[in-house]
Formats: sequence, structure tokens, C-alpha cells
Amino acid sequence: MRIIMDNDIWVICDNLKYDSDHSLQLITKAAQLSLKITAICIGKLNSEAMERLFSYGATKVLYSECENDNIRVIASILKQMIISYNPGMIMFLSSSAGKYLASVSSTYFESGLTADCIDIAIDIDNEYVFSRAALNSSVIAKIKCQNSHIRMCTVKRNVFSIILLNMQRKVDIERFEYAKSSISDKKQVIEKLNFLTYNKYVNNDNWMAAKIVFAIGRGVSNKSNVDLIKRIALKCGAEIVGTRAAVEENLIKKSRQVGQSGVNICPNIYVGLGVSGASQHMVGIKNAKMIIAINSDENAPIFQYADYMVVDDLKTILTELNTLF
Amino acid sequence: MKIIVCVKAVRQELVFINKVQQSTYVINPYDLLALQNAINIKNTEACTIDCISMGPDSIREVLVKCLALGSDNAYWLNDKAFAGADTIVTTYVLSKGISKIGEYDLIICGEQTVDGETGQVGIGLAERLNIPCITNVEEIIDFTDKYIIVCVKYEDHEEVLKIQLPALVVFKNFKLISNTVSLLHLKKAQRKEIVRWSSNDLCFEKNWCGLAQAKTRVVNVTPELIVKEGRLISGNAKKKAVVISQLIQGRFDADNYG
Ligand SMILES: Cc1cc2nc3c(=O)[nH]c(=O)nc-3n(C[C@H](O)[C@H](O)[C@H](O)COP(=O)(O)OP(=O)(O)OC[C@H]3O[C@@H](n4cnc5c(N)ncnc54)[C@H](O)[C@@H]3O)c2cc1C
Repeated sequence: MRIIMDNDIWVICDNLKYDSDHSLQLITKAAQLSLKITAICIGKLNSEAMERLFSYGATKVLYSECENDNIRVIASILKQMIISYNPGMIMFLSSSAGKYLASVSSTYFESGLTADCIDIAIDIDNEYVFSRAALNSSVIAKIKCQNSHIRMCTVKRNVFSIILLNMQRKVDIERFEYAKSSISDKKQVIEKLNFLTYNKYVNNDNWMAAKIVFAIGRGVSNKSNVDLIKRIALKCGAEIVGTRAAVEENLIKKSRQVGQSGVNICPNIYVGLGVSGASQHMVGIKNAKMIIAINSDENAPIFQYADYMVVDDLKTILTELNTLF
Repeated sequence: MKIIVCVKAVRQELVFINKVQQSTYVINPYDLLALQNAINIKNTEACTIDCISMGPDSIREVLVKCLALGSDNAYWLNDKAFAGADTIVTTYVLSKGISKIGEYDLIICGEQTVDGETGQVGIGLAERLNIPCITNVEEIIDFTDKYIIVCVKYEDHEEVLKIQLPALVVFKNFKLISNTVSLLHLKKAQRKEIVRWSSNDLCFEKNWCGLAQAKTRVVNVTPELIVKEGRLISGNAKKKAVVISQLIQGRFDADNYG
């Protein structure tokens, strides 16, 4: 039997878009853990967005009007809400704003906070267990809160799916009036001088869905090898990605870096070319269906994770490979 | 003007998989970038840089490295009682250490550490010290005794902010390799005093043990990466290339191989 908590879970929704995908993912997950889900909306009035949250599992919306999007003001309002209602567990988004609110609240209430969760469960002792990557993403740690009344976590994007309920729950929106006097509006100490939006879609992201990828590592060592790899990739419909070291050596663009501080991809076939197999890189392709590794060092760590191992000089193999396509 | 940089020592194998350095501990790569930025300020503005680090007995070499790289003073918060510290404890201890150092204009932190990876210490520390905190900082553009101007980068936009001092900024990026340190600087740094404070030296509240108890506990750790029993492709280069091409084209006949 699945255990369900009877204490209140709060989901702190995106202050700019209460019903963002990320917010809905958290509400959906929360609804699997508890019967009482309060969605916190601090920002401009948007009834439509707030009502939508009830279709995904929210049982209540606690709303507070806040004209500007000053994150410090929002944090002060949130603190007052927490003092008034004392929730059992709070889920934050892992966005910049979510992280900020989570850190401030956890410090203020001296509460345990697990960052960047990829799973939340309830164990037989009826306690929350938060899972997250640690030690340079090489392990998954399961974490419990202790010595704290409120449990807090930030949750990564796209780790939970969004499920629309068959039956919409009763709309129950409560307006929270905060004590304006106690808002430490630190706005005046921070002044926006310039604002520049860039279109994050200028880079075409289609390559991330590629079925076959060739990963360039430092072992590729020069541009002529890169060109050779590109030629082969073109012939067999593969995309080029790479390691951080390859980025630092200017062999590939930063936007194509795979791993902990780059992007995660899930191709059918990953071919590592002169890649050593550091955990920070490998986590980015851990769900690849097949890993082929070519490396001249038979002790390279990548061979531990590979389905097919080729111990040889890269240039020699590439030259042969080029004749086969 | 005074800048305080928070530095954590992390085990070197978490940063470099091939042991390229002699030391057991190295500066957390995120903090290294923060420190290097502070040192850059010092090249143009008159200021002092203090590094502060909470850590066990064995991290001395990291503090020496901070001094060698150009920091003026190093403070080491070292006590058995700090072992097992989580974010809540770390920010508590650091805030007490910083208060003991005294006046400062700017505190600089790295975004996260490679071992803890929580990314909360900078924000939590600013909350405890009650000073404004700016995260996602890409660059410090201007630094005066009254304010700093920084460029911050988010997923989809960039802002230039002017912040009154004192303040805390959190750098977004990291750096694996430090600027080279001359032997002379290193020797000098080794002779320099490192201020070491235990919990007795820091003015903790009486019930600090209760206040600064770790609020999280790791109950279980499992490897994230699956170790596989891979298949070795043998033969000459031509043969190997043929197998690779078959694998890529989905034509590889595993049963009849080898
Ligand atoms: C906080 C942090 C975050 C990081 N994030 C990422 C990340 O997101 N993505 C990432 O990729 N890395 C990341 N790294 C870096 C990571 O730790 C490794 O340093 C990096 O992945 C190594 O890249 P590499 O395998 O290309 O280079 P190396 O480790 O230098 O490996 C090169 C390999 O090429 C082989 N080789 C050399 N010559 C030949 C030849 N002629 N033929 C065949 N093989 C040859 C060598 O045997 C070696 O195994 C991060 C590190 C830190 C500290």
C-alpha cells in the first residue's frame, strides 16, 4: 500500500507564471504524496492560472499580491506565510528564484533543505526521503530531514511528469494579507542598470534528440581529427557533442558540452572518441542505450560504462571508419 | 576596502580524475573562480582579500594556496564539532567567523561545491549576515567603496545590477586550473600565519549546538552510473572499424561475433 501523508505540502509556484510546466510537475508529484496540497502564488493576480492548478492536484491556493517581481520582497512574504500556517513540507522549483527562496527560508527557519531533488518518497517510518545526485554526480544520495519541523526541497525540472486529474478539485483560493511594515524591502540597495533578453532558441536544439552522437574528448587533440569525425558523422546521421575538456581545448562549442555542467541527452548510440569517462561527463549520457568507447588507454574509466570497448589509437580507427560509410 | 572570499577545500579526486596534483585537497573549482575574480579586483583597486574556510585538520595546504594566489589573510575555522556540517551549520559557522573578522565591504562565494553540490551556502550566509545577495554573477564590472556593478546571467536574460555595499555575490561558473603560482610566492605563503579558530574562539550562542545541528542526514548512497560488463572488440584497426560501423548501422550480429 502506498503511504500518503496527512500533513500539508506546499508547492511554491513560479512567481511569473504560476501554472508553468515546472510548477505543475511539482503539484502533480505532491498530490501523490499527500492529500493536502497548497499552491503558493506570490505575484500579480491571475485567477485563470491559479484555478488551473486545481486540475493537477492542488487543494488550495494561497495567494498574495505583489506588484513587483523583487525576489527579496517575495521571500519576506513567504516567511510570513510559513509563520502563519506552519506547513509540513515545502517544495520549491530549482530555478534561480526557487533556489533563492529555498535557501532564505531554510536558513530563517533552521530547516533541512535538500537541493535539486530527482525523487521524493515516503518510507515505512512515515518520513520523507529526498533523492539527489552528489559527489560530482557520481552517486545518488537519499536524504532525510532531522531536527527540523519543516522539510524543504528544490526539485529539478522535468523529473516528474504532469498528470491532469479526471476530476477537477474544488477551487479554494485564499488571499493572504501580509504585514507590509515588516517587509524588508531591500530594493533600494539593488538597482537594475541594464536588462538584456536573449533568445535562447537562436541555437537550434534539435540535435539534442539525435539518435546517434559522436562525443569528442580531449584525445581527439586537433582540428583535422574533428573534421574527420564531422565527415563521418554527416555520412551516418550522427550529431557531434563533447566533453568539457574538448570545449576548453576549443575543439567544440560550449553549447554542445554534455554532462553535469552541460546538457543531458539520451541517444540510442553514444560513441566516445578520446573521452576518458569522468563521472561529470558520463551522467549526461547515462540513459544512452548503447555506449561505444574508443580510447588508447585500456584503463580509461569510460570502459567501465561501455557496452563495446575499442582499445586503439583514435586516428587509425577514424581513418578506417571513414572508408566504410 | 575589504573582500572576504569563502573557500572550501575538496578532495582532489573529485576535480581531477587523473591525479595531476600532489595534494589531497584542492580549492573547490567554483570558489577558485570566485577567488581569482577577487584577485583581479586587487590588481586595479586598493583592497585586501581575506579567505575564510571551514574544514578539517588536513586542509592547510589549500589555505596556503589561497595565500600564494594573492589573498592577504587566511582564516581557518577548524573544530571537530563542525564535522558533518550541512548547509545550515556551515552558514552559521561562517557567519560567526566573518563577524569576528569584522568590517568588510564585499563577500564573494562560489555557486556550489563539487562534493556537497547544494548551492545554498552563499544565499544562506547573506541571510544570516542580513546583507543583500546577488546570485548568478558572471562578472564584476565596477567596484567602489559604496557600491559594485555586476553582470548576472540567467537562462534567458542578462542584467547589469548596481548593489550597495556591504553585499554578498555568488559567482556562477567554475575554473579547474588556477593561475600559476611562482615558487617564491608559494614559499612566502608557507611562512605566513594562518589564523585558526575553533568553536571556542567564535562567539556562538549558548545553545548553538541546538541551533547549528545538521538538519539533513544522508541515509543511503547508490552509484549513479551503471558499471557494465562491456565487450572488447579485438582484431586489427580495419576489423574494429567494421564492427563499429555495424553497431552504428544496427547490423551487428552479436551472436556470431568473435
Ligand atoms: C564541477 C565540474 C563539472 C564538470 N562538468 C563537466 C561536464 O558537464 N561535462 C564534461 O564532459 N566534463 C565535465 N567536467 C570535467 C570532467 O571532470 C573531465 O575533466 C572531462 O570530462 C574530461 O574530458 P575528456 O575525457 O575529453 O579529457 P581527458 O580526461 O583528458 O581524457 C582524454 C582521453 O583521451 C584518450 N586519448 C588520448 N589520446 C588518444 C588517442 N590518440 N587515441 C585514443 N584515445 C586517446 C586518453 O587516454 C584519455 O582517456 C567537470 C568537472 C568539474 C570539476
